[in-house]
Amino acid sequence: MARKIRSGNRGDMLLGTLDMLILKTLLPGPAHGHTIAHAIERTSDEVLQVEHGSLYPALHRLEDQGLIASFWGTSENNRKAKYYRMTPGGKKHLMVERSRWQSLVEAVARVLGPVTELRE
Amino acid sequence: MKWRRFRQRQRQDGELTREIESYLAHEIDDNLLRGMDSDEARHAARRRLGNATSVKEAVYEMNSFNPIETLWRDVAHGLRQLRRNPGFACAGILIMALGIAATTVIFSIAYGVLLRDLPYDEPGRLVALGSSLRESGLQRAYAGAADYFDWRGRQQVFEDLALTRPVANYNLTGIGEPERLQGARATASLFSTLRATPLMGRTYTEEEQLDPGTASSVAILSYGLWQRRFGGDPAIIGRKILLNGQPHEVLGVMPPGFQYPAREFELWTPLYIPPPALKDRLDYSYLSVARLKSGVTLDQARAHMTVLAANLAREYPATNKGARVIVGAMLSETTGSVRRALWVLLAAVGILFLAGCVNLANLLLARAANRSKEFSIRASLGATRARLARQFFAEAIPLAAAGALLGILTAHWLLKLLIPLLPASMPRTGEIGLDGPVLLVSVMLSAAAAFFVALAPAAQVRGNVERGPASSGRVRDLLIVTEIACTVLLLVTAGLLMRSFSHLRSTDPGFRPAQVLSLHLAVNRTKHGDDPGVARYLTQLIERVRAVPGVEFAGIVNRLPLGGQTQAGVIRFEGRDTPANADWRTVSPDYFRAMGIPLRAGRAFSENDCADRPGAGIIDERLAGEAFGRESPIGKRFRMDFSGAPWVEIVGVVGHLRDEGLDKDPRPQVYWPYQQRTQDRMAMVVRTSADSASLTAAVRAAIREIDPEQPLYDVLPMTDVLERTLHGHWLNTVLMGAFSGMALLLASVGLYGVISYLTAQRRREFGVRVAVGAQTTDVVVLVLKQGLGLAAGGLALGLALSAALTRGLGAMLHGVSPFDLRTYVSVGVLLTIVVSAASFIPAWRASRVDPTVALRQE
Repeated sequence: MARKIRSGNRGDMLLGTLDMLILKTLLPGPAHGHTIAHAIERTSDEVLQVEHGSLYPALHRLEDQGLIASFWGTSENNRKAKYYRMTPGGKKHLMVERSRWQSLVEAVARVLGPVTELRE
Repeated sequence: MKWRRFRQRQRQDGELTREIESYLAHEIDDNLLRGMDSDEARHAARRRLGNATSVKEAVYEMNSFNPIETLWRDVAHGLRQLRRNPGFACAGILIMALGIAATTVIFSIAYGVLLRDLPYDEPGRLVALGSSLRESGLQRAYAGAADYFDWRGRQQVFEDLALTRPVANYNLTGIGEPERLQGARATASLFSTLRATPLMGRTYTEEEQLDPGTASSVAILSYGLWQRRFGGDPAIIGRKILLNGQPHEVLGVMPPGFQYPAREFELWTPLYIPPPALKDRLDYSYLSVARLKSGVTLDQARAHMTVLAANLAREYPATNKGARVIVGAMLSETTGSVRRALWVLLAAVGILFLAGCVNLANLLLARAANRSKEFSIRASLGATRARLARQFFAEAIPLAAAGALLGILTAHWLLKLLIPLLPASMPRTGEIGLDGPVLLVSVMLSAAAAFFVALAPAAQVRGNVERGPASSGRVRDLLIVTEIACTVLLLVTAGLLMRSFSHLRSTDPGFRPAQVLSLHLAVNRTKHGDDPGVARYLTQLIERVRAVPGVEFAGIVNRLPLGGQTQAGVIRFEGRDTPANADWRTVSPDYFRAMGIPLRAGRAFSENDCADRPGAGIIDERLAGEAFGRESPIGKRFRMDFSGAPWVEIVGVVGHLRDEGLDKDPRPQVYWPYQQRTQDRMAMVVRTSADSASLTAAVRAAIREIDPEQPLYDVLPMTDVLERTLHGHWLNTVLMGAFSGMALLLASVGLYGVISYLTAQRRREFGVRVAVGAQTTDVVVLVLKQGLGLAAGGLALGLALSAALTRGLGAMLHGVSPFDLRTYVSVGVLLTIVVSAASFIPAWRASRVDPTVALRQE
């Protein structure tokens, strides 16, 4: 039912990856949209380029699912900003997703393994 | 959660705007720190954010109930489109309403008559039992009384079974107008087998049934009779009423819904069969109903009864040799006679509905082509292809909904009109109604139609982009060919039925019905005594009626030809082995002249053929030919096929009658004089010098003069009796004609629409043709060719379908083969004419095109 999020390079980013990245970013503490966008870009060594606007539908959806919660606050720049924080449910979701991701990566690595060795 | 957000969308939207503004402010701050000037900083921030509107839209849609909301928006858009084009909307709604109305009417009749449960507890376990006596030529007789008692004593598959004599005439007297009531004499087990309990009082017991005294002095009333004649008297139980002049104690009143064997039966009395009557085992005039034990299937019951019948055949070889037991589900046995006609009508109406849908699809398709500009604009504004395709469904839904509503209302009205017109021979007409299951089917049909109708144009929107517009033309052609084929099939069916009907109309029944009045009377034995007494009374009646001015001849017969009542049996000719199965008739001397049955040889009966004279008999020409060939039958003897039956001498040969209907001719006839074989249920036929209906009152009065308590029933001119037997055929023909007419109308309108559209598209081309010297006729021929090409395809397909399918009409056709060439050719010619007319108009219009206008148009 929910629309596919318009990410920067539409379709390239695996579905749900953005959600995971957002949750990961909120793990240390609450942050507002701008911070989250830049944090994702930075921590992924600018590999994952996101059109920053696409963050908002995702945030909205996560809030809908009860994985994050929001409040209005004042930012470090002394500006009004909507802050998001992780809920306990969000934390659990992140753990589950992370281990699922891990096993997916391992599985893919096993399949692609020989090719990698050849290149080395 | 979602619902709350849905309602707060406005506020949420504002919040999102603020949030995005906050993002931009932060990004601009950062950019300024990076050393950009303020303009540059703002632009970079916006670039970074991406398309703010699409972000908002995404969030907005997330907060919507997507499918419903989109659908609603599409439907609203569809409604706007329809309002903008009321002609199209009306046409669509009318086509839909027509299809739904016709389908609903026929389905509600078919459902009520064929499918609805019988009004008994667990009706699926009720079966009807009958005997088939191949030896004597009775193919599908009622059950025999003697057989019934043996079945009941030996069978192990039924919970119980019952025997009913479905014809019992009771003259109700003593309270107001004397009336002949249709009653049934039944075993006590009838009520337990049907699991029917009385509303008041009780039903009779087996002891009461088997005792001749009580059996003839108790009665159960139907709810309707109790209300109608006794004003719903609460003290009716125990009251004595006069039936055939004898007091009967009312034991009980059945509840309103109870009926057996049919709705017109108002009275049930115990069936007492004197043991000697069971001896000859020849009385096959009963209905038998049984209830399967739980867990026993119909096939198991059949197998069981087959074994039982075989045993009986061994024990009573003289009568039961070759006899089989027919076990059929009660519902299908009840409706057997009309089932095929109803299924055929249902199929026809289904085809009509299909043709209507195809037509509507074509209209939508043509419109879609006209709206290609609208669609390309919407597509360029970002509407997805799915969204555009959905638009057609959204437009079809209001059409279908309005059509369904109008159609169901029309059906309601049509049913009221139609139910009284249904043939009297159709069972269960009281079960017909527009209720739950019927409405559900109608609504589901409409929904399916909406989907189907939108499918073609929706597919075209996709096709337009992917495969180019060529495919749409092919779809359109296919649709119109399908529609014409459906129309041809309906026309051929209607044509065959019409030919069959006119064949029946011109079939000679064997008598001259004009100026003959018929009426029925049942003689009260209590009052008029034994056979000589009844005969004397009948003589009096005949003589009195003959004295009425305007009456030429008056005669009586125990079963009126085409009256719907059978009395048949086996006779044997002296010195010949082969038995003959014939209609048994008791008549008075003038009957043949009154009815207009020609005397072929010998003499008619006379008043001298009375009880103390040698037995006389008359056979019809068919039997004379079958039994004696060219030899004269006069002076030969025959008798009923049981030992002890008296021999009678053949004194005359009369013309053969179609006794059971113009559409069948099962048996020859044998006649006995009424004084030698007296029957107490009689039909009087009166030949008059003027219009027979005008003498009705005088004849009634004459009979009342002899016995004021004599009820008369079914008083009808013989021509009406004849019409009544054709009524079912007439109705089928009329309905089928109406359906095929509607289909033809739809098809011609559809073809007209398509050809108009195509010529409109080729306007420019025609302009060029005319400009370079094409004649008017060239353009007309060009367009006509296109229309006729489509029609030829449809015609060929339709005729092929007809040849394959009309065989299903089977017994509905009389005197005409399902491959009747004349019908096929006529349909072909009719269709060609109509189709030519439908394509000629646009063709003519196209040929009038002014080349300068056409060429300047684009």
